[in-house]
Amino acid sequence: MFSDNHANRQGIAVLGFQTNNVDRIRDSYQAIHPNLIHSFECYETPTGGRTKVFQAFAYYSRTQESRPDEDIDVAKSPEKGTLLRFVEVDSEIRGFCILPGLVEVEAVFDAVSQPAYCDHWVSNVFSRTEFLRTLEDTLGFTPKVDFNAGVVAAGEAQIESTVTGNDSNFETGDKLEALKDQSQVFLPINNALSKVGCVHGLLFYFSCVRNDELTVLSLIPRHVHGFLEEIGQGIQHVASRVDDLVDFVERCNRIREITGEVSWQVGRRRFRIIRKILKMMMIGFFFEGLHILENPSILLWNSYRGLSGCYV
Amino acid sequence: MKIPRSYYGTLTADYLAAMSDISVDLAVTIIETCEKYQIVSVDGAVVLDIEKETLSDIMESAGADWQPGDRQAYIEKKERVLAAILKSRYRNLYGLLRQHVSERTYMGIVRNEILVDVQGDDILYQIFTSNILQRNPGDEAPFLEFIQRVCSECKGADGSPVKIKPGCGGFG
Repeated sequence: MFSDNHANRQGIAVLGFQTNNVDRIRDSYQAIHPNLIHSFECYETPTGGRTKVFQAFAYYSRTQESRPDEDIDVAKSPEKGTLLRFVEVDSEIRGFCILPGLVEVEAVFDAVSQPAYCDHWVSNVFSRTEFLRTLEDTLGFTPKVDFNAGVVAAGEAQIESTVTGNDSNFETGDKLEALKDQSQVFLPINNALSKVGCVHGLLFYFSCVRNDELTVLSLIPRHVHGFLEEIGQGIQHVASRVDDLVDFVERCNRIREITGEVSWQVGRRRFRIIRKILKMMMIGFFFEGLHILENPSILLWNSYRGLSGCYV
Repeated sequence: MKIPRSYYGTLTADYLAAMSDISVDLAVTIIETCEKYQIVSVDGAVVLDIEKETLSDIMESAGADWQPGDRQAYIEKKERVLAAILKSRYRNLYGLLRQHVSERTYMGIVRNEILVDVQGDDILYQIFTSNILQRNPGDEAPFLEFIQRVCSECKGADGSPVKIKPGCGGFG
């Protein structure tokens, strides 16, 4: 369903939320946005517990009448691409997984894995105000003006961006508790105001004006217009929180170096040169195959030593 | 996502002169030496892995060809000059974070091309992946973001640390 509605592309099709009151959310959709409802299922567990799953389409489709951020009161149809999934699990059956063959286990992070916790999910939409209104009508989400609201720009590229979310009362003095907390949902929502920003392969760097304060060193990739034109409305990116980002990224980069996955830009001409060099280096290091894909920037290799890699 | 080194900081004659209390002319001479020995690129980015001792040795060697006055001025301000050259790698970040962050962390941020945003007393570290689920090169596609929220450790009116709230540091 996702790819059918997104130019046959892959993408992030579902945002899932665990809640303690699916019925209330379902009622809100039924009352105010019935066209967005996708499905409701109630699963019985072997022990008599219940898991409720309610799904709604995230966005309305872009109607002929609609323009970015215009109020429209015409009958609207859902865009059948991205789903919001709300799951309520009976407290007495926590630990039971509805999927066959799976059991819940404690998350353990060893020397080569690090935890990352959901922080926010960013949507690109045609009408930001419409999506904000939908989320307020159904979930009670309100804009978090303290964080980021209004127009952001980089040269000619302009977007509007608002972060909405629930009203969590969570606060703590414990950093670890803050890191893991999932009581607050943040949903930043972007819409394009200009057609700039759709150059393939380029991410725009710009500073962002927020609350009359210039955030000088904020470099954010925003290709909202291009994303909307090519793919349509959807999740632009998901953000996860980690304890120590420098350590997290450094570890990733070291693992990439160790495993031979390094960042190279290899053109066809340079590839031929590299292939010659590699052939000359074949003493004690025999390449089984060396291939270039349709994409000239990708080089695949395999060796008899069991090493293989992909340079992108 | 490639972040230009100018985001974090580069070496300029004005900066070196101001930080080291030397003349701009001497700063230009020092930067030209750095360029000659490929310690700094033409756009002012100082090599990330350069050690202070190595830098000192190069300056010591190259200084033999300088004007006697320049050489004497350099010797007098040597420690500040070397420190300024090394600090230029993250001078923009230092302007934001000051001494709240160690040099090791500063260098980790630069080396790993992490973005830094400051909102009030909170800090947001960000990094974005390349596109994922991309069908063809050049196609628009989703991506992932990883962040670290460093919430204020300021004390409240009652003297106790301010509580951490969700979303501190903002969204970049």
